[in-house]
Amino acid sequence: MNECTSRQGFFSLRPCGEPAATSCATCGRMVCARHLSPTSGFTQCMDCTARGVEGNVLNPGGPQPVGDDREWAYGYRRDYYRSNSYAPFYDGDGDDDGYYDDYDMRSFDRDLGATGANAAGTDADDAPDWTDS
Amino acid sequence: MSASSLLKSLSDEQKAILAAKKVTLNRPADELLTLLKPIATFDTVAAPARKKAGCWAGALFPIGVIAIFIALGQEGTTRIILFGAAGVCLLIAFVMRSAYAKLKAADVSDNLAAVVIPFLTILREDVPATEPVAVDIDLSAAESSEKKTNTIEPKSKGYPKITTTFYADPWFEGSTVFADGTHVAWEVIDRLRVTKKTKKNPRGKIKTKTKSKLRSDVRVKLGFPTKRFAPTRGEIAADEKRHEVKVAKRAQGTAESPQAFRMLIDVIADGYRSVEGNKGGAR
Repeated sequence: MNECTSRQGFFSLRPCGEPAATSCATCGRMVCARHLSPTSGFTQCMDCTARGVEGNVLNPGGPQPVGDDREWAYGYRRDYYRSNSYAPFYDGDGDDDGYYDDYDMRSFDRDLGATGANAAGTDADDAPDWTDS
Repeated sequence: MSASSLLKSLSDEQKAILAAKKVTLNRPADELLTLLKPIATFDTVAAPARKKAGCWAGALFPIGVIAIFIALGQEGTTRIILFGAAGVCLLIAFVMRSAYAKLKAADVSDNLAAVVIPFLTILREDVPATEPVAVDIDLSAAESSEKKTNTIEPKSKGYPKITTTFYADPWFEGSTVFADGTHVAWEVIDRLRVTKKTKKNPRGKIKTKTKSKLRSDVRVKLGFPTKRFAPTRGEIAADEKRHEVKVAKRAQGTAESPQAFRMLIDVIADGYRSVEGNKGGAR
């Protein structure tokens, strides 16, 4: 089964990994239902909507999430990377289709990076420390 | 949707948050947003409604009282009409005053809508769906007596009288673990200076002006796992498990447009700029 090709995250990006529901009407990439943009009538992926490919429908400059908040987050992410020269880390395979080339991502060392603990987003091997709640 | 119907639609837990004006929770970001967003929406809608209710109550009450006094000097039908009009004015003023009091009691800091909701919306993208986000949020007004740190009283008894009051409001703390294994903890402290200046003009009229200045301090601690991140600069403290990065930022803003959301994003981004992918193995 095809996986969603959207990249999730803000400071570090990672593949969404959910099963794809359809393809984006604009870029043609496979995306899951969660990454379809409500503003476009669920025909476009959130990244394409954030890019304003079919009209600049988002207001990423404002701090208040407008409309669908996940969609706002994708618009804000794009705007933030561009206006602050922020290069996020990317935890995944290479960018085959070049869709995210303009994000200027930094990579982890794959051999060291893809551990089970990190993939799960927790540090199961660590004892509690100052950031543990 | 009106403010009162939004208030009615809130769950018991949300109403309890409005009453306590404090949120101490440890839940996934999605759940936090589901809980807090309706409160923020209510607060945003309630602010102009509260102001409107206050204005109507303030305007209609004196009109009603004046109408009563005028009615006392009249006779016949005019008197009855004026008493009726006064009664309607006072009744509407009473209803508006009650609505104002109810909305005022449920008022929470604008920081919820302007800072907390957008910040959690961004964090949700970096935090795995099941990972909890611990938050401790104080949504009460910064200008409250328990947050007062110092007051400078006027030096002389004459005019102008200048009273400066300082408040410290540590209103937002939290921590979580990002999907890349980074531990993040943050703290936002608003420092408010309120200057009240009372002047007397040559005609003897006394006027008071109040000015406030807000300064936000944002502190973030990031614990980057050494297996995946290496410091780009030498000064970052590192142990076997983590590189610890502390970033702080201070900015001035206003109560109407708080800067803390953008500052939180900026300081975490600065922390991420201080590391690179660990290509040399665990240190």
